[in-house]
Amino acid sequence: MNTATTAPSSLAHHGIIEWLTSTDHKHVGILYMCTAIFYFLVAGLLALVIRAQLSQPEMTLVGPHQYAQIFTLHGTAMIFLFVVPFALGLANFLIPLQIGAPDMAFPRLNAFTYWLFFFAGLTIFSGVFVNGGAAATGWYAYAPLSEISVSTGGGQDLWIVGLLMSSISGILTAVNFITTIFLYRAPGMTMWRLPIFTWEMVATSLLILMAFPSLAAVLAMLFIDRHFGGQFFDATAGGNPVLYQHLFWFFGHPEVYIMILPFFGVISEIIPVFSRKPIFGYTGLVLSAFAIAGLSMGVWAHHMFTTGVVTNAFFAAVSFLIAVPTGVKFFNWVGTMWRGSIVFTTPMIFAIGFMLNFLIGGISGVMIASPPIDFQAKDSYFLVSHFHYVLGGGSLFAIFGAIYFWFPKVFGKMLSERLGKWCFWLLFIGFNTTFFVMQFLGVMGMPRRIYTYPALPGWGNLNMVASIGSLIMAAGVLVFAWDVVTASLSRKHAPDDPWGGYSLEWWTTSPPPEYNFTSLPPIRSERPVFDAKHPELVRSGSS
Amino acid sequence: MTTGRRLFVSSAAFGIAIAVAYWFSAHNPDGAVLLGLMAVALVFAAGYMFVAERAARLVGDRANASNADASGEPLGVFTVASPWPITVAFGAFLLLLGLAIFPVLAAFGLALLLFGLFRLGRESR
Amino acid sequence: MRNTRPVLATSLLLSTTGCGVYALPAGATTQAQVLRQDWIVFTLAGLFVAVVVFGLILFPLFAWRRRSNDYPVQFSRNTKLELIYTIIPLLMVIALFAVTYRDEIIVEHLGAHPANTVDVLAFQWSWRFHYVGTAINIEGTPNAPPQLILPVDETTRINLTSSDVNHEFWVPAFLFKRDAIAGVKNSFDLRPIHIGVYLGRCAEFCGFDHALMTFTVRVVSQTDYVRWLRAGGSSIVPSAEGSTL
Repeated sequence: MNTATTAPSSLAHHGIIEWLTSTDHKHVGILYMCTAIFYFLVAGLLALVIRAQLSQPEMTLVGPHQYAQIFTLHGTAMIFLFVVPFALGLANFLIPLQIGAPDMAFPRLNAFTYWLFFFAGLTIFSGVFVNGGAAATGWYAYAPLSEISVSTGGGQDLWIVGLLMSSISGILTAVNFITTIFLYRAPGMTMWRLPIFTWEMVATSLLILMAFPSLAAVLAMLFIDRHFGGQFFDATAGGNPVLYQHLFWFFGHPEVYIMILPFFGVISEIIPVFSRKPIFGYTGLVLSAFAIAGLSMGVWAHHMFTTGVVTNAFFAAVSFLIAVPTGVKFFNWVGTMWRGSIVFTTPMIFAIGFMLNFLIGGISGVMIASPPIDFQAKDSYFLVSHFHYVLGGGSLFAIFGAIYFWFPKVFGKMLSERLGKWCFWLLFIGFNTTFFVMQFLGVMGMPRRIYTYPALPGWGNLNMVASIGSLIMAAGVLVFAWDVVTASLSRKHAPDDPWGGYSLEWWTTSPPPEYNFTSLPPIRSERPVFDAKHPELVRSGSS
Repeated sequence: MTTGRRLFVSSAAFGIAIAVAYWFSAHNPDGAVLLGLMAVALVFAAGYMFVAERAARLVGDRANASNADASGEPLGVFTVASPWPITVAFGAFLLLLGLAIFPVLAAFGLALLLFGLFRLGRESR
Repeated sequence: MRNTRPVLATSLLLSTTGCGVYALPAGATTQAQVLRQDWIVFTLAGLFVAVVVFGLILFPLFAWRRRSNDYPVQFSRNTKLELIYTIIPLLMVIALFAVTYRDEIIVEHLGAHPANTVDVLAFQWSWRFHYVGTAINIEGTPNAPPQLILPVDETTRINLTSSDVNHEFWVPAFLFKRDAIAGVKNSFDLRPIHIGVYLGRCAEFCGFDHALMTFTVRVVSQTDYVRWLRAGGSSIVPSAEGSTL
């Protein structure tokens, strides 16, 4: 089975009814990822409108009401409908394959979580069609701004119930992941031989279980305030607007790590394969994932440094500490490349781009973890630059790396290396053009979420540079779309193991059959497929 | 102690530690309650792992297990297709959408949700 | 008052966080002078880390690109090295935390006897400045932003709150912002060091006209300030020098 000739694909013969009712983790994973990419394109288009509006001072392309809806939908879609669902979809596809299991522990629950997420997206975007328009309070919708007395439109309600659906979906998915990884590992696949991606998903799932209930709670409370006479966040009635921030960020900061840990996993899968070496410091990587997950539960109020009612020192200290396990990951990736034999495939250069971008985001992250710096940087374009370096330069680049790496496994077709490199360079140059200058805009005093700005010295120039960068990025996405279309139409089948992969998904056919495996190699280390193909290189007595 | 159990026990210990540390350094009840509830949930999960793992001896946890060792191990039944997950999801969607814009829709959604769950349960037998 | 340290710091800053107008404002209060030190320390530390880690990432790409089909030595651990690169960043963040902790205490320190007190009320979408102990109330609109008059080299206490949604009081030239939240009274001290006019604005998204919720801060000499107070806040200060937006 370990040859380029593929078995008849189980994915190829599915009509619409099969896709609607399938509980196969591979179908669910593909649905998740395709839906996520759809929302990425939508949210990306919204970002282009934002950049057009801000390209010059006093632009009037969109008005304040439309602008508020656009940045709210952009943020909500990128976070809740793109990055997180893509990670969950990729994990859905990969976890059973990487641990040698036939499916997820709860296949029907799995399908349910996808469809709930699907309807969540529809709900949030349906706000565009109701009276008063879509939600227009930003992706964290601070009360009292999101209360019914201020935001009267139905769009805010649709946003609340949409996110409620997505949070329920996320919690159930996390339960499914943990159960599957704990109980359905193949013989010999001990926890300490799990691929790093699967380990990162254990940490991510734990974080989802800790953080998402707080989101569900705050959304329910806001809904009660709006429709059932609650006064949780109404200061005039004895409520507390700061409580909203506590509850939201208790979810919202771990959410940041829910959006990056899976992609640390992706990078930790790609780099060793293309350095043709095992991952360096496996144990350190696993422990650092849990250190990050644990510490991230104690940093939520670094989003509240300027509220004047939280103990900044506690949150600054814990926030700084997160830099340490994150640094460990970087050094482990460098150690993996060290004295390796590095192959510059498209997934690898996306992984390198990820490291370079994420490093910038990490450094600005340590800066704003310091309250005295946050006093200037908070809610400015410095912050906008920071979290785009983490989520766009980080997660997004890892997502493209993951797509180029696993596309042959998922669909049995190869993406073009030539187009892939075009896509990378356009995205990399465009991304840095757009977001590097925003750091300067931020320290100069440009706040986020303004639909217009006066012609202050330098503002127009930097904003124009950022807008040009966004067009370069858009060109990169178009190249990618063209690559996917041509690869899908091509008749050439991808081999089962095009890259010389390490983990079990590369043992089975591309795409994998129903129930995934017809045989398994002996599992004696974290890279069983490599061991089976290169018995002469197996390290004696190592794990 | 298996790795899974160790993971939950150490998470629970961390949860308690950070809740206590927060309480004594920040004196803020909102955050202390949130961290405290998180610690309780983790302690509950860790406790459950102790009960559940006593019974389970997984072939996946044995470092030298061969594929033959797995034959006969009950993995459960994996459904390939079912119309009920999407039905339940649609019911939940109508229920929440109805709460937001139109109460009658919520009642219909609740009915569909319960019906879907009922059929899902029947299917499992 | 003019020594070389701020000059040195400014030139350092220009080289680290930008140049000309594309830079962190010089810092127009004594508090901002402290805040700017933090920016310099963290920017330099960040640049140092960036150079080292960029080098570590890029060096292998040139040194060890694939040259043959043979697999390299399959090593995968070095516990001593891993411990070292855990401990060094840990020491670095402890040092950075010490700087942060010291400076935040200075900046947030509330003097026992501020010379003036202004109650600032934020609302959708403008500001009201009430000079405590006087009848002076300055209220603006989105199209006619209000002006906050402050005396130079004197401490003014700001008491900040909101009458509706969350707002945020930000003067970029002061390198400082603070939330205005209904039901919360936030107090902080400002001690401007240069006469001039500075732009301020709301930084927390607060609804559709958030972008227009601006104000100006006019720092005047102490004699002008007293004259202005005596006139009930109605006279226009004649001698404000320059304009540093």
